[in-house]
Amino acid sequence: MKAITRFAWFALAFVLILTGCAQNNQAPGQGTPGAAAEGGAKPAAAKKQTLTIWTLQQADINIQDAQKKAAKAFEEKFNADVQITSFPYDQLKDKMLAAVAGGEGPDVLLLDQIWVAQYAAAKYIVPIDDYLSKSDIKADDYFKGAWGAGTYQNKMYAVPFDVGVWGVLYYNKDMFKQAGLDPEKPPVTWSEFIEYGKKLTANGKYGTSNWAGSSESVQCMVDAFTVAAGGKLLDDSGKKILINSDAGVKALEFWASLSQISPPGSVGKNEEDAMTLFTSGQTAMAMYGEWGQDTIATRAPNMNYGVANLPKPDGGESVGTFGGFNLAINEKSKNKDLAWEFIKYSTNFDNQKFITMLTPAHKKAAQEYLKQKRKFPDVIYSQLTNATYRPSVANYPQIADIQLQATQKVMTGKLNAKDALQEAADKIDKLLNK
Amino acid sequence: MKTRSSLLGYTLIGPAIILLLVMLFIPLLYSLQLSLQDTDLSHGAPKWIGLSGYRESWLGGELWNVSKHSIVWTGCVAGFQVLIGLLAAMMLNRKFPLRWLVRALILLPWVLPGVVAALTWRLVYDSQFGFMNSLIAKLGFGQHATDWLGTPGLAMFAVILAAVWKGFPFPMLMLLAALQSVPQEQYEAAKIDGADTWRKFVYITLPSISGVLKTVVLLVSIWTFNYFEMIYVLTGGGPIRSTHIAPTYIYELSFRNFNFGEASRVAIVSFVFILAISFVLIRQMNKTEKY
Repeated sequence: MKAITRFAWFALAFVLILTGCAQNNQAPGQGTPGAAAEGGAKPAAAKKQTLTIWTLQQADINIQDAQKKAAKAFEEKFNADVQITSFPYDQLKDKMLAAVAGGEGPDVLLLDQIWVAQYAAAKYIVPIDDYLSKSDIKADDYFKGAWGAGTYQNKMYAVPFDVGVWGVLYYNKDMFKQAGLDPEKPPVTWSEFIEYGKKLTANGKYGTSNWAGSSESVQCMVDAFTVAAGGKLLDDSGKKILINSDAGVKALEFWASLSQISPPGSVGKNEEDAMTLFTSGQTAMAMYGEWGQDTIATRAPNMNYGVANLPKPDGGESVGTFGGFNLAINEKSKNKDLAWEFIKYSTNFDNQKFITMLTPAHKKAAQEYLKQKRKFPDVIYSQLTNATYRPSVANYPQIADIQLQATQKVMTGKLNAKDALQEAADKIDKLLNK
Repeated sequence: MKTRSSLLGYTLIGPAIILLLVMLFIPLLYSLQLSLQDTDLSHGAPKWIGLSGYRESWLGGELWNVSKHSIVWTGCVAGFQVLIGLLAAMMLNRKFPLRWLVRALILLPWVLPGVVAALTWRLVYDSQFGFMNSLIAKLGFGQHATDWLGTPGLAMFAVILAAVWKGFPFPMLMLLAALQSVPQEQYEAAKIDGADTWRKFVYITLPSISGVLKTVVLLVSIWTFNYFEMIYVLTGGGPIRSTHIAPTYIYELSFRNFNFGEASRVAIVSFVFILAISFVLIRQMNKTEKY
């Protein structure tokens, strides 16, 4: 007993020492960047203002160089010191949230579209409506869905930087010929897609492959089909999910019905598995992001393939779902005006052509970019133009997971689409009104 | 003299204690504190909600669901790992040609990197080209395309089988070492007394290795409870959350949903689980030592 008491005192002493140390260390640590920034903000001083940006690591050296050059030019123009740090996606996601939640982090935040609402709800980023009204940035210059993804509760928070779309339709022209289908006429409607798929499903090959593994991309597809069928995902108040509408039910039924033209076992697959089946010639059609062209070029360089818009419901539209990144200003930034200048600078037409990793969000820049880098640029451009965006709510990841479970329930035959979506909508509404 | 030596003693264990405090106790207390807060992202700053968070998690049903899976998972995986490990150890304890080679080869699953093993099992379970389905067909049960990882009832079975395969060499290795230290004289004496194989096993082998056996059970249960990558890679907790165990659920809550409060609640509950397992087994181990 005595030993334990002694140990306890000892431990307590250590805790006190430790916390003491921590406090001592923290004080100057917090002070320094603030002090430096204050010094820089004084207009009289010729000292440079510092701007920090965290961004994604680039695999492509050309983009890296273009970004560096653009940053240099910005430094000269605004007499500033731009510090860019880049991370792989997962690290950017975890580190940025931790830093910003702790009241620190970079001045300019590169946010995945689905993080915008999270950050906005937590007031980690500032609304930019005032800045926008004073600037020449026009919403019309950017893809509509990407702009929408930058809003939260009717306020604009983040300017679109670059975009991708889930997805476009890839199809194998040789397999079309073998099945007696015209390789220049890909399926346009849902019913055509299934009808073609049935013809292509023979001799151990399949029309396509749907999937519902642990991945959010399947939700992008079902969301897209829901909007294509005339539905909406979220009502304007942001407090009610609308996926259980007739359009939502039809969309999910369509996705699940693809199982009849897919290889067995698609519930456990993810989008990469489905694309691998396509590039290895096991399936004749695949729905995948527009960057899938790079995947095909590396894995099956000789494939004779075409790209078309996603199939649409009868009387509906071909709609995809946006992915991509937007730029926002840290609420704790000392140089918000400069940060805004930087955002304007990186989203203008001239820079957008060179510095984005996905397709530029600026429409005119996107047209040039696609012409230069992609086959079938017109198909991709039209798919981007009317693409929708995922529900802009703070706890989107949780909501996507509930949606995913509904999809899995339907694809495994546990529930029909209507009941599964009703169940999911009830759960999601509870979350939205918490 | 005495004070000086005890001061030296404290100085020597000091670094270890600091390490323990920094790496273990402070994070533990911090997650305890987090678990009493509502950190849902729909409102900015965390709210203090006390124990009602636990109540809600329990009533939500997901916590119970995950606990159930964790218990089934830990029980089956640890149980079969030790059982198969024991059988394999007893076989390898006999003399047969090329024993050294078999002993080395049988360790393979254990030395394979976890993610590599899991990815390999993903291929095994592939419904179209997987080894599992073709094996069943070759055994004469007919062609079929079972989706092992995509069918809610089968997925748990599939991940358990993969995990047993991955982990059984460790108990085998430990138990083999224990078996080799059992004095042969006892078996000879038992043989003279006319004991059959089963009796020899129950009255000589088991008591002799029981100390090691209990340690192995303790270690394997705790490792299995916290075993993350197999399920993460194979199913990610799906389909329809039918294979979510505590570690994968905590990962999803914290690093995908950024709901650190709820994640801490699950973590604290699973901490209590592990503590309970440890207590029972450590008491058992102390009992043995007293004999």
